[in-house]
Amino acid sequence: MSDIPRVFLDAMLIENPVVMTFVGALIAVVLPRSARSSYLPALRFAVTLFVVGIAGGGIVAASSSTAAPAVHIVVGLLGLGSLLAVGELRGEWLGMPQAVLAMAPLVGVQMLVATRDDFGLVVAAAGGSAIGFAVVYVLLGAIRESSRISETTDTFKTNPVVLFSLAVFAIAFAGFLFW
Amino acid sequence: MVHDQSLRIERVALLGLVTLLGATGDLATALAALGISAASALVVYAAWALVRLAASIPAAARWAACFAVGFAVSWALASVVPYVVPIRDGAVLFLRIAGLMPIVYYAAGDGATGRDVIVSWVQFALLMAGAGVVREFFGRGALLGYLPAGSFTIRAGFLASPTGAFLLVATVVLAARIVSAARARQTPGRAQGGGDE
Repeated sequence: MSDIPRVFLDAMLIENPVVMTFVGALIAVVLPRSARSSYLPALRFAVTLFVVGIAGGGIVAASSSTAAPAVHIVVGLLGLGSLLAVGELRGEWLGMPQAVLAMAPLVGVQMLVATRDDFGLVVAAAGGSAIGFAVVYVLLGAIRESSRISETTDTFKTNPVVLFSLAVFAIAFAGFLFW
Repeated sequence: MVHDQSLRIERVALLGLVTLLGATGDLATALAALGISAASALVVYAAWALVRLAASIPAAARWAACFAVGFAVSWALASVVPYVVPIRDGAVLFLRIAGLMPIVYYAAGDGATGRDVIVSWVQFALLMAGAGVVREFFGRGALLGYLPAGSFTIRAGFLASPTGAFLLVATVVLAARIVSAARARQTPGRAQGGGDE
């Protein structure tokens, strides 16, 4: 398999930013409430992660590493601003603005993508990460919704089910290997 | 404010989820991540106290400044730590973004009292150290890179893997819920933990 499809599939599955690389795990565990209400947010987050990954990861991959933290945080904050502008992350979470949930994936995806040494691979990695994030985000919304309306006691609903589901996803994703 | 310590553990696990998942593959990395998170939180709180004095600065700009400060501290410390403590390659990413975790900004939020913040940080420290011990000892058969004297382990490699990280955190959250529910049954009128927030 050539490099670009391999990097794309790696980023979407093995290095998925929610399941195996974790950087987007918190936002995907906390925010999606149901599958249907997750489609549009997942699309917005995916597009933002893709653009942020290409911009931040591409700049860092092509320039010196000393400027990397400044590039990552500036691009991450711009990505956060664009998410706020399209109506995402407007509420509060545990007394903090929901924006605090998005900084780790917005910066983390740049750092993951920046490890690639070719712009084509940067685009492939950013695309794979964005699609992988969106798919798992919607899946977790569905899992959260089905656990919430299940007949079990509140003890077993939502967060424990979502986290155990992520463990199962991790086992499944670890089974993929692309040469 | 959370009065039930069991339910607080679930919140703390979520506040530091990415660090808890990514930087607890071994005890040394877990302790390094904990130190970086705590240092970032102290500097962020100081920065928050400073920017709060300027009432004309919009809230969004204050938070953006705090994110930048938190990330700068964790990036700088994560660049130094590997010279002091052996850090696995994959874990450096999580040390660098430790300063962007919600636990670092918890004290600057509206919903937490001073006692709430301190207890949450104590629980976070215990979670990080506990996860580091369990994942390294049972996953790699060692502790701080050495086989503990007289011990014998059959490695359960999955505990050192991402799967083990999710399983461990999920188990802690579920255990906290079960304890909370058991206490609620013993104390009539007390709300049962769990459900959607």
